[in-house]
Amino acid sequence: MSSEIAVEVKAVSKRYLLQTTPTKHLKSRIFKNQIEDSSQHWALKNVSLELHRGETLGIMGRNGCGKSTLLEIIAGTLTATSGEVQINGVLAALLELGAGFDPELSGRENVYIYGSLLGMSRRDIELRFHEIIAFAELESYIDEPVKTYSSGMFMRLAFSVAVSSTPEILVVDEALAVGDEAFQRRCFARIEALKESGVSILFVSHSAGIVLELCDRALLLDRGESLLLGPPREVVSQYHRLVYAPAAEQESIRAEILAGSSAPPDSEGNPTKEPSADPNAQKVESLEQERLEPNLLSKSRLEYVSRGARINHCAIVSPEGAPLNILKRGKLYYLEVKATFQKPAYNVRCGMLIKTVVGTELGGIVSAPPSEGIEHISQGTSITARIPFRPRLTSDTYFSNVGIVAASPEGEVFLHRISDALTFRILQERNSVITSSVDFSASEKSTIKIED
Amino acid sequence: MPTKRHPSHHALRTLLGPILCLLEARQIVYQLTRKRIVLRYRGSFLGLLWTFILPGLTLAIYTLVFGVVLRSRWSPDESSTTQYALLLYLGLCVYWFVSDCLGEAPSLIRNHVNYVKKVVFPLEVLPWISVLDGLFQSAIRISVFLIAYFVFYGIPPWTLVLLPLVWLPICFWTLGISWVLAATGVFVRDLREIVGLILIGFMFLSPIFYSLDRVPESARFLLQLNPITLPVLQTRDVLYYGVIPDPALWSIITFASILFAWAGHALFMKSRGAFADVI
Repeated sequence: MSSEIAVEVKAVSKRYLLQTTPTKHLKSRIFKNQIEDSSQHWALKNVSLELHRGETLGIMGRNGCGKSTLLEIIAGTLTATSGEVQINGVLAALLELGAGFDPELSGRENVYIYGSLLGMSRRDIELRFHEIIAFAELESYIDEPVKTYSSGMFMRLAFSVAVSSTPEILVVDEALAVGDEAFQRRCFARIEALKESGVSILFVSHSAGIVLELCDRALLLDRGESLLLGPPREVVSQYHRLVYAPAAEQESIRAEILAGSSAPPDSEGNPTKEPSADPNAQKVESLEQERLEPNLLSKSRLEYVSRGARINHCAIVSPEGAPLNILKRGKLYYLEVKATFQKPAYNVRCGMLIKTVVGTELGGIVSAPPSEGIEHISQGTSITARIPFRPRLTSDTYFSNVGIVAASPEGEVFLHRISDALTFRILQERNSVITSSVDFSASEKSTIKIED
Repeated sequence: MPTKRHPSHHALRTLLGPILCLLEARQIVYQLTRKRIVLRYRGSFLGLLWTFILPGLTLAIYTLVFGVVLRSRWSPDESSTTQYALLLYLGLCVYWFVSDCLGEAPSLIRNHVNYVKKVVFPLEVLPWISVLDGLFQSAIRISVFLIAYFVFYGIPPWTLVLLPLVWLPICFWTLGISWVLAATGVFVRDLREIVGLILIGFMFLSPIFYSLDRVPESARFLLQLNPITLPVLQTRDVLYYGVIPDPALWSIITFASILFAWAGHALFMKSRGAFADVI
């Protein structure tokens, strides 16, 4: 490997001509006509990125933001209007699963054709053939024409061929959402394995979960512009903020993200999943008591646009009312939320959603069951809610969203919500039998009987 | 297909482009050519037999119309309908090859939209695939001829081993025109109809149905301009008359055809970047 950079995209822009016929297009290319503003659309504006070797980079953005265009330019099926793309290594692209399949041919024949499209030699395919059909779970149908397959079977076969090719750079567009959950899990495992073996991966996804789980870094694209390139957590939360914002607020949110992203370029070139929590955390755990650690603050806190209420304050407090962020597993605490209502609200509930450092949602708790919230809160009122909860979690750092929901004509909506509003750490315990995040332990003792 | 794209392009690459693209993507070309051949007859009742039946029946119709009804003969003193039929058939073999490839060329890219947009695919091999498929079909047609020749006249002339050489130039210029038509066809949709018309002209303004000597001197140049005239005559020379084609003429034609293929390929490569934008 000659270079540490697998893909380098330098100031790429892509212009589409609107209301054009192929003939007009040809003319404008030949004569290099000036094009009026009204008849062109810039799908990408000056986008740059570097994909490091072995890195996984996710591209997020709303529909029509240019994600797929960027991926297609990198893959080489589209040509950039300006800018440059440099690829160092063998690249395989999954722009659309099964795009090279012929419905009339059998699964077996399609494996050979699709494999050769992905750059595998006949021998490679023969060697991996059994692996491919086993992964796709199509052993008994492989000689049937593909047109008789269900769409799930079709996708499984396509994905299976695609991941068995051994590229150095893999470009994937929305292809992971195929098959049933069991198959999806295996897809992830496969992609993880590719990552482990040093493949650089670039993919587009709408799914925050996938981006958080798989990516080292993420890029937020909006209207063809690169808004933010950084740690997945940050990008995912800004993406959500942008997606859920009312149309009127979007401009200012965009500007805010752009302004914010130019300030700290620390994440650049540093593909790690860094929790944005307290760096002094190690010291805390030796102090075997619950307390408030002033340094443990959520740095990824993100307020969504208010729709009639505002959370002024939220905290985790002890039953006595003392604020805390170093908690004991399974003890009783209260979530305290203070909010004011700018508009009257009906069926109001407050709640929290606890997440791991990588954003996996563990569970939430709300102040009341779905239709039993506070019936009516009039305009200008302030409230203080106290919601009891017990964090049955292992020793680690967690984040929590806090929000207020109320009934509206479109169903229940968030009046206000703050993503990563709180962060807390669960104290370490000696002789613990629980692993991973959630505490499933029971007070009874385990027994193991040895039989002879 | 995986791509190894580097900013620099060697001059040599450009020069050998038409051949290199085939070598680099031979796996894809093999699979897709095989697919075309397999799919053509899969599911049909007579399967591969069609490759024999179709030319056989077409030949029977042409022979009936021109040989029996219109009493066409190659020369006034000749009265054999068999000879007429066999020579006509050889002419048609050349024509079918060219018209299959060129007739398809203008819509080649539009018929493979997936390969343009959704797969990283070396589009420049598409004309190769139709030429290779055409050669496969032609091989079957020629073997039908050889069987007929054997039945009527016995062992064919030894010069039949020169056939691949005789066909070399048509393969190259067919490729060249296919590249030009495929690239232009993306932008100009009416090309398909125009090409269809030109191909009919190719058929009738060539010595397929009549011999060159029977054409008035003043109109003969028209036939000589037709690119399929020479291959038709040479194919008859090596397969029927047992005459060796003029090596000097062959060399010039081959060289020109390769040059033409190269130019077509270069034009195609230059315009392929815009395909995805207009399709």
